[in-house]
Amino acid sequence: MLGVISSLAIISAIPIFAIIINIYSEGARHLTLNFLIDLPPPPVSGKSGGIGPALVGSLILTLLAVAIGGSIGFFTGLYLSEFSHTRLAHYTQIFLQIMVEFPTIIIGLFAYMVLVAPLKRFNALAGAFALSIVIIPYIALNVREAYRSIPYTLKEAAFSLGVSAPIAYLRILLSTARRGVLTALLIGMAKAAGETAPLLLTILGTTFTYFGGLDQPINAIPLLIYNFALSPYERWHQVAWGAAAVLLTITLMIFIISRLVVREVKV
Amino acid sequence: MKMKANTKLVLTTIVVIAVAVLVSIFALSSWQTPTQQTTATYTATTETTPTPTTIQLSGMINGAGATFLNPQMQAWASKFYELTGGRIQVNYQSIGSGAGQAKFREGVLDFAGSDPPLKADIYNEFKDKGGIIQFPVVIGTIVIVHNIPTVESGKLKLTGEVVAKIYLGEIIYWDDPEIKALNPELNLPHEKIIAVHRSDGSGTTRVFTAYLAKVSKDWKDKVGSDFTVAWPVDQLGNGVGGKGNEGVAAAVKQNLYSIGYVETAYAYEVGLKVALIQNRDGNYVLPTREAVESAAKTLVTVLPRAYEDWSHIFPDETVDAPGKESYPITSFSFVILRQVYDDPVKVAILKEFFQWVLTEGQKDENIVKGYEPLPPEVSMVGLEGLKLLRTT
Repeated sequence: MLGVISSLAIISAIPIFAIIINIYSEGARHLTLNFLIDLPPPPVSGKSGGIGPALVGSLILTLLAVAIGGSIGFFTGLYLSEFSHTRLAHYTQIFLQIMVEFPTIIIGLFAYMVLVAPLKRFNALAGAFALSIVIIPYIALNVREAYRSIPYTLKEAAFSLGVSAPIAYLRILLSTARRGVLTALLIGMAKAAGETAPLLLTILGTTFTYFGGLDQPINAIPLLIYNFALSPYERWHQVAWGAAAVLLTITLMIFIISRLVVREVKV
Repeated sequence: MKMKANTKLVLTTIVVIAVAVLVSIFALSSWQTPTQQTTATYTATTETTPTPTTIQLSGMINGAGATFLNPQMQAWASKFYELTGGRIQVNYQSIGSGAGQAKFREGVLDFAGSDPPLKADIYNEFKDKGGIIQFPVVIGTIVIVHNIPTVESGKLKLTGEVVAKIYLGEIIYWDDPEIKALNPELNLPHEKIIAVHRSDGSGTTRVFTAYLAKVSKDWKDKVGSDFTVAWPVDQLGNGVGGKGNEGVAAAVKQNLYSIGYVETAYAYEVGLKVALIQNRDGNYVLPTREAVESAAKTLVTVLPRAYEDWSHIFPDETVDAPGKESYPITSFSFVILRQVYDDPVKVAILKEFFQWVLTEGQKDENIVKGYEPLPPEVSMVGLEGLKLLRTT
């Protein structure tokens, strides 16, 4: 019985390794500095090109999403942890759990309605807005766990210093919960960097423009992969493979950092 | 203490969120100014140019639409980016003709690319808003592709009527007597035909179904022509949908004994087997340059002006053109613009780019394989139309 269960556990891990090996075997040879900087190539002609605008766009969108979603998610999580007995906290928690499961394409559609259609232009902010809605529940629920794990005696001690609540929570207790909070932000970041659906209806994508302003279209790596992988051109397929390798590297790096952060707290 | 802390924390949270919201609102409202600055970077040229263009504009224009137009538009945009030294960035995303027209209607695009011209209802809607212009930028053809292992490319002969019957679900097997009668020399297998079609709103579907409606009364009565149609063959379980020309091409390649319709460029690129199709004069033709030029001669005779409604002419009247060599599923691919834009820089860039597309862009070295350049009189429609662009 144990044998069956352990082999099933191994089987469930196989896809991850298969994906990593597959992506790197096809895409690793594209990982050059020029590939990270250059403009994407036209479908047919001599140049090999790169993913410059998509990489820059992804960085901007991810940082913006973490800035917006992180600040809202952090305070929501703090509230959920420290005032869990209130009715507001109870319902917020239920809504956040629904939001975790929410189809992200619907969030993209919502962002289109409120930020693209009224402004008459596809724009970077709409994409960052959609991404931040996607990551808020992840950040909030993880921050809640981080603050919950602080021993009650420590919280009592912090408040007994006579400082105001914001100082107690944001300066004294945050230093204890910081690894958990950092992990929450990193998880949010990885999620934001990899999402495609919220971007399909919001940022349009660009070919030559790295960054034209928050009110202008922007590109992102997942969107570029989606567009180029669907094309009939071998050259674009190659760019998509390289972009996938870049995205995977970014995700793995964020993951490794967050694991290191967690390990540190256990020691 | 606890209660007080609670209130304070809630207040802090509210303040922080309010600040975040205010900042974003501020960012939103202050956009107008920096945008104008970024897009309106007038850089005076130092050398004296013989042309009256002493002011060079720079900026980005955003378009989206027809997947068919995408490879050609990317090639043009890329060349133009180089020619202008990165000054003008033409951003085109392939989202399908249907989505392109819808997004154009919502005003979120500077221009739309579409296989058929603007739908009549959208055209009329824009009458009060200053109007639109639309003009062909390149000639496109749709080929019937198949995946019968025993039949080579360019050997299978089909008539429009037979294709209609396949998609109607009336012809089910490849060795159907009607197909055999057209291809007595071929060894056709007794296999079910998998009919692949577009799953998204598509200009290719609009042109293809217009052709079927023209050659088959049954098709016209039962199905008609639109961006998406209810495929009778789907109800039999023998139909497969694919997203974009890419999706259809991939589905045909992956499914043995399938048939599909794609823009010619995609068929070449993916390496699909192409079927000969019977034209109105009874000859079996492939979309060669001669066949397309012959069909284009008829298209030229019915050209409206750029500001007029083209929807009743293209593609319903122009498919299945007469002529001994004419390729029957030949159509234009259109670019659609508003006549009035808020931003004068945008107007100037749109004019500069599309003037180039309609002149230099039509030269052989700038045309991607699978497309055909416009006859000069067709380019004139766009060049004349571009003069109507203006600011509020």
